Amino acid sequence: MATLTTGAPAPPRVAPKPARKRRSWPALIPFIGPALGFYVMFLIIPLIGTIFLSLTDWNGFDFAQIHFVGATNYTALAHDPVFVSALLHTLIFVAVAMVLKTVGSLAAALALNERLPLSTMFRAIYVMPTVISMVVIGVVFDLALSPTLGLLNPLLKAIGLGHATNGLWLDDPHKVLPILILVDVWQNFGIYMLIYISALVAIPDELGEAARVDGASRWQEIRRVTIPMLRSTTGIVMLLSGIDSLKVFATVYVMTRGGPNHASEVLSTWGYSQAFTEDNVGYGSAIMVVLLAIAFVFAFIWLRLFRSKAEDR
Amino acid sequence: MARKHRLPSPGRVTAVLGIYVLMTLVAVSILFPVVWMLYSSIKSNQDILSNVFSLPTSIKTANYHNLFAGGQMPIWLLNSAVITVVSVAGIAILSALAAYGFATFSFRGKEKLFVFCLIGLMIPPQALIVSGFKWMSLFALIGSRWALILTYLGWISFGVLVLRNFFQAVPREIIEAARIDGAGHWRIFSRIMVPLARPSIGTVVVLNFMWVWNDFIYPLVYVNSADRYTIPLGILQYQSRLGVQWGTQMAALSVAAGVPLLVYLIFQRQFIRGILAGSLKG
Repeated sequence: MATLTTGAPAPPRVAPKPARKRRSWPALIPFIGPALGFYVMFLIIPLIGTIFLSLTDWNGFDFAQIHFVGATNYTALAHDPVFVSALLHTLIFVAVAMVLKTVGSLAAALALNERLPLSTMFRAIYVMPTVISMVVIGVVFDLALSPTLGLLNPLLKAIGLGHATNGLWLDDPHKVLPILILVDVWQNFGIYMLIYISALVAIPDELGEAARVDGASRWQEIRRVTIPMLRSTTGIVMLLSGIDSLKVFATVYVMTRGGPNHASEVLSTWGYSQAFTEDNVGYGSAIMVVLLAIAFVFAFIWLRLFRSKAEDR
Repeated sequence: MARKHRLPSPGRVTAVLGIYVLMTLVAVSILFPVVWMLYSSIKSNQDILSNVFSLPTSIKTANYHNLFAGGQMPIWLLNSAVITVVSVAGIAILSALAAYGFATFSFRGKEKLFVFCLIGLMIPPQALIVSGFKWMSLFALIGSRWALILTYLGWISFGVLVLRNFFQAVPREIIEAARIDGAGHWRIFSRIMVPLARPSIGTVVVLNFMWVWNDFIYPLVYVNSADRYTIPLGILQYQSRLGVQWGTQMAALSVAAGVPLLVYLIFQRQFIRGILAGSLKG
């Protein structure tokens, strides 16, 4: 970082360094101490606690009954078919939602960048679902897709497509995961569209102009000049949208509870039911640790990007 | 990118039309469920059951009456409001202080400590609920609003990131001038930095408002009685695929969606800036 600064008033280079350091600690602690205190108490300790509990066998009631069992929970995971499919569903969910959100938000940003009339209105609408609680979105879609009372089946019938489906949506094990992915994409692509729009604004116009002088069409210009210029933004969007999808819980919990028959079970819902419904606190924690491990892979890549970005400044 | 295509070619006209059709379809897919929810909330249950699409013929306030007079909606709104206001104010204060510390002091291990503070951005909150629940029950806080407030006060990562970036960009001359006038850290922080950072603090407040208000997993686990529910948990009480209380449910959803939508429409600028700041592009 080029902008590292000192609190002392522009000290001359000859000033003895240790003296300045000793003075800065008492002044520094009231500033970063309180935030760090809450952060460690209520985020870092539960994080370490999850890892600790994953190495124990505990029903969750009596602290005296915590037994350390080593990696037993982790070996048990490999023999739990529901865990394996939950892991698979999570990975599929994250990968597919990430790609769809990236492509969708890029397309929306490029379309809005054409500065056609009503663009601002479209932009505001596209961001709207992200501010609404996932619980609300989940309940609304749950109702809309209900086979008996929902919106979608009468709608399909009205446009003559009623026979194309069996009328089941969230109850169909083959459709439930794709539907949940689409809801996630539908709700959150607007955020990434905003990130793309701000990157598009920053692209110097000379490049596009050069392409136009060479007789490139608008579409060729976008494909050959604009999209390659957005490469680093695309990296950030994929990463952030992946992390975002990894956090999925409320929509699945509200719409399907992981069902039917675990067809939409993801790591967070399976860990939740193991820990709170089945009272397998140790085993539930091990499932959460797997989720954390995936999150840390994303975090590691993000930090690398963050560092290189900081060095660019 | 200024448009230089003065004379639209037939190809461009078709492309523009295609873009409009697509953009409108996406917009309708977003607006329709929201509008459907809103207008269904003023229909009677029988009207909804006989035709889910039909527009209301008259305004029926019975659903809202059920929620507010007959139900616990006022308590849930109050719970959500108290928890959100206290938590978000706390997050703003804590993260502004820490951000000032990171931006103006130099000390060993500063970058490492800063990165440590960002871990919170990456962690799926639901991964922490199991041990978080046990941790809170050690302090006998389960069932109290404090369990939620204290948890949210740990969500300082975003604020520290955004505000540190802002404080670092403040010209050194301003701070040096204040220092020569004899101002200490507290004075510089409260009289110069915080007023300057007001837009960035607004961004931090708006985004954290959305996150805390809409949070579902922690209330689900930490709250154990209906009179302590927050809005996202409360509205689930009306969920039923059989449509028994369909109208009331729609009204509950409208209230739950209405608050953040209103905040978004009023503070759109802060919200958008927050999204960009969180993507390391700010």
